[in-house]
Amino acid sequence: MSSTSQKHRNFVAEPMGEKPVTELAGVGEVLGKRLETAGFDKAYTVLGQFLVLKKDKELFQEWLKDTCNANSKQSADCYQCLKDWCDEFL
Amino acid sequence: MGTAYKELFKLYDIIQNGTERSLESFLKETPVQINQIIPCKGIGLLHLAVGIEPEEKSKKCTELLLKHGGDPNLCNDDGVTPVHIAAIWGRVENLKLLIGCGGDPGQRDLDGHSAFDYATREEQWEVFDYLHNVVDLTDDAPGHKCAYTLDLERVLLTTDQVVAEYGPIIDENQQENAPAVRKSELINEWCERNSLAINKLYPTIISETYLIDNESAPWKSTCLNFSDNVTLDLTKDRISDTNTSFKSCISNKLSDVISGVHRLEMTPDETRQSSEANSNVMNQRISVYENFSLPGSPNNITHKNYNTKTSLKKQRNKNLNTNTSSLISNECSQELDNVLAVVQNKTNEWLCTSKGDVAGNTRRSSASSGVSTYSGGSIVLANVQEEYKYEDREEDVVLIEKRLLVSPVILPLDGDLEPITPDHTIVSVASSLPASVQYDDNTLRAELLRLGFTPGPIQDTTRNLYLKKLQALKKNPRDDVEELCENLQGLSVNNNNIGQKKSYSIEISKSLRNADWMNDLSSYVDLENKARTDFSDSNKKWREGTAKTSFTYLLLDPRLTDNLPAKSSKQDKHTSWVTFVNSIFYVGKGKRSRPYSHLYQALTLWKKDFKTSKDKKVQHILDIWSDKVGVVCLHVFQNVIPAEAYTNEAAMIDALGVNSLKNLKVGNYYGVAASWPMKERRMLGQYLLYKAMLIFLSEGERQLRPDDLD
Repeated sequence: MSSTSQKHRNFVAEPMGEKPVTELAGVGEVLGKRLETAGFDKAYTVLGQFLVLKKDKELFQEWLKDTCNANSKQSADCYQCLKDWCDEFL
Repeated sequence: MGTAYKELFKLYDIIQNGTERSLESFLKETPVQINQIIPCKGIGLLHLAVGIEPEEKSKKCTELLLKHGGDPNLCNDDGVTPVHIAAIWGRVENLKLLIGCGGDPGQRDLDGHSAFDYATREEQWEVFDYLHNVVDLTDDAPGHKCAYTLDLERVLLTTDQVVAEYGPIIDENQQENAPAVRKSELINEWCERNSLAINKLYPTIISETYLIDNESAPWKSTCLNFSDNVTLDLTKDRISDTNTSFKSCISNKLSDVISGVHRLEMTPDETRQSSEANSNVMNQRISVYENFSLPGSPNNITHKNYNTKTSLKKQRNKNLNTNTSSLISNECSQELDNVLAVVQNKTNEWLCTSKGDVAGNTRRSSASSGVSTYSGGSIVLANVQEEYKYEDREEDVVLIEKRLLVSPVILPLDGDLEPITPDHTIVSVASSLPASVQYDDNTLRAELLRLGFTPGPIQDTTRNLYLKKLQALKKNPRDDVEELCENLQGLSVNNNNIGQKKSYSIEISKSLRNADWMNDLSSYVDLENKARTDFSDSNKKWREGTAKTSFTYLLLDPRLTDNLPAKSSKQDKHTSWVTFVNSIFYVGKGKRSRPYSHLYQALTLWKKDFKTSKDKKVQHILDIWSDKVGVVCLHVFQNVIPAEAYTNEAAMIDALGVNSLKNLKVGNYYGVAASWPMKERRMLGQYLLYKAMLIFLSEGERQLRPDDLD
């Protein structure tokens, strides 16, 4: 878990602006599609959910699993990505 | 030092001439060592405050000083304490506060007088009465009248929030002219008339339970039958009554959320009942409670019929025995216990209505006392509670007693039936419960907070997550309790480190580590018999006489028990034992005329908004109340002579170790037990505790709290 993916670093490097949800680490095309269907088309909507859950890792991962069937690796990546982004920009 | 005295003199002046408010602000601003004897004056500040005129101001000042750490036992040069002064001047209110804060009424001044002596000498009879009744528990005059009333306030059906509330409606006209009738003939008559109906009722309940346990096929048809049956019976019951009835006020907030219960409301029976309750309050009917609250035989017979039917009988019987065994001449206790039994019946009735209703299309395992039903992420946890109002007019004490019922349905079943585990329930129920059985947001939040989890906003997108979280938290109640305890008081219920946190006696520590001793209790039983036979020897003279009016009580911390009786069927006995032993914080002896007098001191302080006391026991009670729960008060070994009660108390204290309790001192042994070695005494104590636990588990938890809590 110590190394982070390129995608992660890209995302955390700058404000997310209007980035699509697929820019998030751990969210690929498939998950992105599912999230979009659920109304989460932009990365910031997922950030919203992340914040509403008070950055709780367990709950957020559970949510991601429920919403788009993410596995634990994917949800952990996504969580870490948002977490780091928040540490940087929030 | 000089400056300190200056402050003291200033305070002295304020108390004597100033207003309460100036005293308050002065104490707030300047930290002063107030527990000092002021030179020249020869008294401390508290001495002064207790005795000044006018009385109102004195009360206020005493309260303020005590809140700022005033010592009620501070002696001046003559050995006089503020307690003495309050006694001399007849300041009962002040005295209550002082004693609540740890003041010792038995302390003697240099002339050898105690507060008692002064009260007598100065003819302060009010003070004398107070000391006599509340502080000095040694007086057990036979024929002492019951100094309290205990009335049923309401019955609550909850799923963590109040769902339905039943309160007895008492028709005033009826009450005025009919108390005598109500107590005897009416009730017997009613019982005779209705025993049949009730008999019919119980087998159906049982058959239904049986079905749930086995999950057998003919479920549906039986249930339909069942619901017909019950509705009929209940209506019959209720219509044939003539005095009182239950007002059913379903709280609106939840009725549309919890559909299962909502529908209960719509059964013909219920609608009928509530419409009747509304339309002719004057023509009320006898409440089921009232009818059963008489020790008449019909009611007993009904119970027993019930008891012999199925697997439930054992526990039920036990319950009943506990109840009946304590039915001795005292009217109050009789009524009390009977009411308990009856309310359980009432519970059953409710259970069957709700089940009969829901059962048509769903399978619900049980809707009572802590059994949970899960469905698609939502949880229904229904508890049945009754609240009683305990009132002692003489001492101006009102306590609310909350009883959490142990439902017969979830008690351990004997023989071939396996107790339902939560997991079974999930499987059998998940698909069939209506989706609308849900928590609303506020309930959910409150529930999570109670379990020590702080949720974020609960919205459509997060609700399910929190429900799951709640479910997970509830599944591991032990962990929660641990967390809770650690948060609250740095205690841990963890099996492994008990020995380190609390210093129990060797015997108890051993029993906590290893459950084997419960399998062979014969040596313990022998000990107890030996002790008991000695006390029944009527030729001997015993301290405080031979009136059988005493009992021993245990105070338990509800934050640790966490409704143990409801959980006990789902965990093994040893776990229950560990929790039970851990939760005990006080062992004492009481007398029947005022069963809750040991809470009076704490209550006095509570009313005045004190949060601290020098008395460890009072402090602990205040802590518990501050957490919005009531103290669990377990009365055991009722109706024994004082000496035996003292011995029981002492044995239990020794078994637990006085250091792990809030007791100040160890007790005294009388009779043959006094000659026993320590080891045997502690074994006796351990066995008594074990019996106490069994009583606790079958009686259900009773929490006592002041009436103004929450």
